[in-house]
Amino acid sequence: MSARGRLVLVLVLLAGCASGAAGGRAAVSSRPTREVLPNGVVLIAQEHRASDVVALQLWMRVGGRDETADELGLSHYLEHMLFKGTPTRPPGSIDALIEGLGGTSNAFTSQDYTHFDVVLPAQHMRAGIELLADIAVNASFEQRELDAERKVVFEEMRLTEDNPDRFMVRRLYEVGYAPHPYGRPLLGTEQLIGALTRDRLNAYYKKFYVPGDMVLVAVGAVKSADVRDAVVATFGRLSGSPPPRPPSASPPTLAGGRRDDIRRSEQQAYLGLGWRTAATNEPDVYAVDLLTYILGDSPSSRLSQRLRDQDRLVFAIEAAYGAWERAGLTTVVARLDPANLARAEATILEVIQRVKAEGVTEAERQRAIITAESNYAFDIETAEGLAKTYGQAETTWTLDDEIAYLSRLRKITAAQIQTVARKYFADDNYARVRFLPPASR
Amino acid sequence: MRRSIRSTAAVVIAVLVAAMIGRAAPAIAAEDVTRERLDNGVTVLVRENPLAPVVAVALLVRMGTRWERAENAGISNFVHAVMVKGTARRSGADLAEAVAGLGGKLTASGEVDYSGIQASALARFWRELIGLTAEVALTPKLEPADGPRREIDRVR
Repeated sequence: MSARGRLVLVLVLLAGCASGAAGGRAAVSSRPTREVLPNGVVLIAQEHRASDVVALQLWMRVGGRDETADELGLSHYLEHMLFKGTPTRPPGSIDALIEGLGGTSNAFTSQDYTHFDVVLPAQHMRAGIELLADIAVNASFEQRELDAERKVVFEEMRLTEDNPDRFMVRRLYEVGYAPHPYGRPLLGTEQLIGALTRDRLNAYYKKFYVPGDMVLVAVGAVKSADVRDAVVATFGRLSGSPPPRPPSASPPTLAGGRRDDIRRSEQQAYLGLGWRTAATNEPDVYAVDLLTYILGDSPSSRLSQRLRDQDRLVFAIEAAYGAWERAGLTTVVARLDPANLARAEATILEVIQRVKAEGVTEAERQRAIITAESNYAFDIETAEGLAKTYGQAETTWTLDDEIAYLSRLRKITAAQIQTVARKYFADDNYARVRFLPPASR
Repeated sequence: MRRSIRSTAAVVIAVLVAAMIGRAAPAIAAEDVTRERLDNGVTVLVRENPLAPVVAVALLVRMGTRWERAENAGISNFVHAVMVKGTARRSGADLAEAVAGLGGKLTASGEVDYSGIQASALARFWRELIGLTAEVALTPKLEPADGPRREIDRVR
């Protein structure tokens, strides 16, 4: 290649090689502080000077799983509406404020939690916390804004269905968890959202957006004591009823298997398989995490090597592990020629069977740990990423578990990985979703 | 649970940081970056960031679509797709395994004005990561032993 002669610029960005300390966590400046204010608000703060910004995140202990059948989609709708305005902040002014300070905002909803975040230059930390405390309880839901947002949510529904990768994950979770609330659509249904009234949304908001459901995480170029002062003066003054979340049951098992075939317009087929594995509070999470890496994290993983490179049955194949507070699901998703569907499924089962029978190698175990370590290191590289890790841990796990995560992962043996493969994975206890090309072809 | 798509995003971030250095973004002071020109003409830029135990390497080359002609339109993109599928010393599977063993990612892609290899890994493997980047850049297989032109045909 002529490229060799033209090699002119090597750019190397090095990070973290100074300390010489072993392990992934060493470079993080310090541990977070965690405090429960008298009204129940949890405050997690950490000084982190990667750059001159602060990540401020409000995590609410409410999500899709808390909705009744006629409230589907309300957690997500609130996620959209909170930045729209309060009595003292007219519509549009919140975005203008954040952008005017040079910041960004974002929000997302899961089955277990709802999350709002802003990233701001560190000197505006107090303004950011005041804003989050205001929208947490004073959102005004003006009718015009509420109606306008309906179209945005409808469009989000269509976007998910239009994208086969996203739709596959959604269907797999629906089929894998139904009829548990974890198996219901986070966005709600067109019918329910179409008929949504301000009163209904407001009642849901008043019920769940109470101090005992709130977690505020602040990570960045700020002193934890300054964060605390700002949070006590804002979130600390909120009052409300105790958190309403009832104890939630675990989803039913997948014994006997579940099957769902969907005709779609794409010419490629999709195959998705899901096994119920460990929830966040179960000790098996570490071994399941490593097993998932070994099965399908990268081009060098077992599934990719066998089905993509060796047997040429799929164009792409990946395994993923979603651990939630009440249940976990390990999924395998492949893109393939429809003619290969049956053989690909049988081969996936064979690859898993082999792990159950023979276990994994020490080299695979070590590679999986390094991958986990690396993913973790990249996750927590920014103030925003670190704050997200803490908030997610606080709402679905515990902060202590999160901090101990890598050290526990490193202790998992190859035998323990084989044990969880045998415990959770069988030929007749998985959910299967297939996308098939149009029938007429 | 932390099997997030963010690890992919991190690679993008590394490249963004690279772009910012070029434009002297205010967050990065010029004195934080060392610049050296090797005898053979290769320019090396290094910036230490002790806050996260990760390393990103970008090898940028003056090759891009602006140098393509009608007869070979698309060849830059094609080279990138094939070059990460094995080297003179390693099969595609061996290369993937070597990268995974560093907790890393390694991809090749191009632009109008430049092309390159983007790689990232745990910081303690920085030597190995530079080694793999050089190996892929200088001795890509482009034609695997298990069948002439097979990889090329697959990519096509």
